Parts: sequence; structure tokens; C-alpha cells
Amino acid sequence: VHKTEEKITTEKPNAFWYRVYLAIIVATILVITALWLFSAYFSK
Amino acid sequence: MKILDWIIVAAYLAYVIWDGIRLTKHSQTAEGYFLANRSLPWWAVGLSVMATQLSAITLVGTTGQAYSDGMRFIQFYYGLPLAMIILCLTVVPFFHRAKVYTAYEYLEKRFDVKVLALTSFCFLISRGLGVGVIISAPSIILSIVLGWNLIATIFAIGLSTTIYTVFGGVQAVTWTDVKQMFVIFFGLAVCFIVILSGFPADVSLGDGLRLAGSLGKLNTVDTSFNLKESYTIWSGLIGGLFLMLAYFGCDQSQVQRYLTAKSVDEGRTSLLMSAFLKIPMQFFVLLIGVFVFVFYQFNQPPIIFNSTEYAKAETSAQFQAIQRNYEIAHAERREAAIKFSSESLEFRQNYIEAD
Repeated sequence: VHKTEEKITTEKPNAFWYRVYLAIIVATILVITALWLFSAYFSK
Repeated sequence: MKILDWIIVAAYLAYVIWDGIRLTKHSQTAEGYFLANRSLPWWAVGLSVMATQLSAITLVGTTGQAYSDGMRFIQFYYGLPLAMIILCLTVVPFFHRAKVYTAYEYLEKRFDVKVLALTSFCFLISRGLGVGVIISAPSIILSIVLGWNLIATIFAIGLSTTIYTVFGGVQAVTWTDVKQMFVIFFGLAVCFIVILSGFPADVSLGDGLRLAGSLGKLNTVDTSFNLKESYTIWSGLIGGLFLMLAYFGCDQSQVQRYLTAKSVDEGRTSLLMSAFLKIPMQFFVLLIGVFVFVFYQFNQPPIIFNSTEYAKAETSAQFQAIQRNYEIAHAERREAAIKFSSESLEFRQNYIEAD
């Protein structure tokens, strides 16, 4: 029981994860934009 | 295959089986066998999640798709990061805290054993059919390469996997997946270099990309709302999102992976790692298919790739006539491709606009 409680208390707070999710969304938008630019550049 | 190739393949298979059996000492309890005692680090779980999606079909089929259809397929994965975020918010903490062994065990707790049996049955049937295709497709290729009987090839592939899975449980599967991912990354890099080395000396990587782009093979973002178009950014973001939610949230082959993570945080990190790496990795796999296409603009592909079928056909007079016309057509295509690659950017643009 003690170990389980310890695991729960060491989890990162939600605020941390929300920032991670935001970073993933921004990174995905950047990756898609980069792919679009890549296609546009080499299709000229 | 040469003797050294056989030694490498045999040594790798022996190592995988030995390492899987070595891990059986950690898998003597049900929790150890099915959940690896919830002890695996996020990077191992993340690589295992990626390896589970990346079957031999992906390497053979996706490159083949890029060869014939370009890179449009990559849009299918644009919804994946969003799906992973939704799963990290909902399913990952839910399953982890429910302390279940399988995704369907929760249904028994929530409803009854009949629902558990039905969902498990459906999963096993669909997974069994899926694995059948996943093993048979590369077996067809290997049986041609090795000159083996198809059934024997299927057994050779399936047996090693079955041995380490049965003896080592999910722990053996995960660590084998980690090794497989490194082998796959290495193999992809080697394929890329080998293909590039097959280009004519005066055709660079950039020339190859321009040639592929001018032939419509580098279309990574299609914003059209055409419902007849299989792969657009919208089908990827909407259709791909729901497909990935179902696959990663309800399919035991995936749920089992993040149930083995040390904590909810580690489970989340493993999925986000997969979300972060999947699009670049898929891009690279598709790029290899595109480069195979470019390679065959300069090198004549066989009319029939299957050497056994080719040997049957090559003696016929009709086939030889076709072969001669094919060689003439390819020589013209090669000349045009080299000329296009060596021309200025302005010439290429005018050529594409005129075309």
C-alpha cells in the first residue's frame, strides 16, 4: 500500500502535462508545415 | 545469400530466442508474465508501441505505396499526435489505476463475463487474421529470395516469435521489440544509402527529389475537400484521429504495452514519444519508396520482379518482343530523366508548367 501511495504522489502535476500536450501540438503543426514546404520546394 | 548473411540471420534469431527465454525468470507470476510487474521504462514501452505498429507489411507495403502513389499516405498519421494526447488524458490513467491485466478485463468488472468473452473473442479473431497477413506477406518475399517453400518460411518466421513470446511473456516481447526497432532503423538507413549509390554519378540527392517532386511523388499535404481522395489532410486529422483512438485505446496489442509502464507518467511519456517520432519515421519509410521510384528512372526494372515467374516467361517469343520494346522505352525514359536532372531550375519550372 505504501509503495502505491508513493507512486501516486510522485506523478507530475497536470499543469506540467498540459504544457507537454501544447508542445506536442505545436511540434505537430511545425512538422506538417515543414513537410508542406518540402513538397512545395521540390515540386517547383 | 552468402554464408556470412546466413550466420548473421541465424545468430540474431538465436540471440532473440535466448534473450526471451532468459527473461522468463521475471515472468513466473501472472503480473510478471502479462504486465512485466509494471516495471518497464517509458522509452522501452514507446519503442515497443512503435514496433508493434511497424510490421513487415509497413516496410514492404508502405515503400511500395510510395513507389506507385507518392507520399500522400503520410497524411494518414497527422491525427496520431492528437489521438495520443486524448489517450494520455483519458485511457492511460484510467487503465493504469483500474489495475487490470487486459483492456477487456475492465468490461467484466463494469458489465459481466459475457462482455469480456465477446470482446476478447473479437480481438483474437481480428488479431489472428491480421497476424496471418503480417506473417504471410514477408514470407512470400522471403520464400522467393531464399528459394524456400512458402509454408516452411511461414514456420521459420512464426516459430522464433512464438518461442520467446510463450516463454518470456510481455517482458520478452517488449525487449525484443526494442532490439527490432534498432535493427529496423539501421536497415532503413542502409537501404537509403544503397538506393542513393545506385543513382548516376551526376545525379544528386536534390536532383532525385526534384525529379520525384515534378512527377507528383512528394505530395505530403493535400488540402482539397474531395471525398473520393483517400488521403488528404482532413481524412488524416479526422479519420486518422478516430482510427488511432480506437487502435491505441481499445486494442489489447497496444493497451498491454502501456500497462507495463512503471507509472501513469511513464505510460503517457511512452505514447507521446511514439506520437512524436511516428510522422518523421513514416516520412523516412515513404521517402525510401520514392527513391526506389527515382532509382528505377535510371536503372531498368524487370518486367516481372518475381524471378521464378520471369524464368517461366522469358523463353516465349511474345515475351522477348515485349522485352525489346520495354528496353527501348526505358532507355528513352532514362535519357529524359538525366536531361531533366541536369537542366536549370528555370527550365524545369517551364517544363512542369508546359506539362
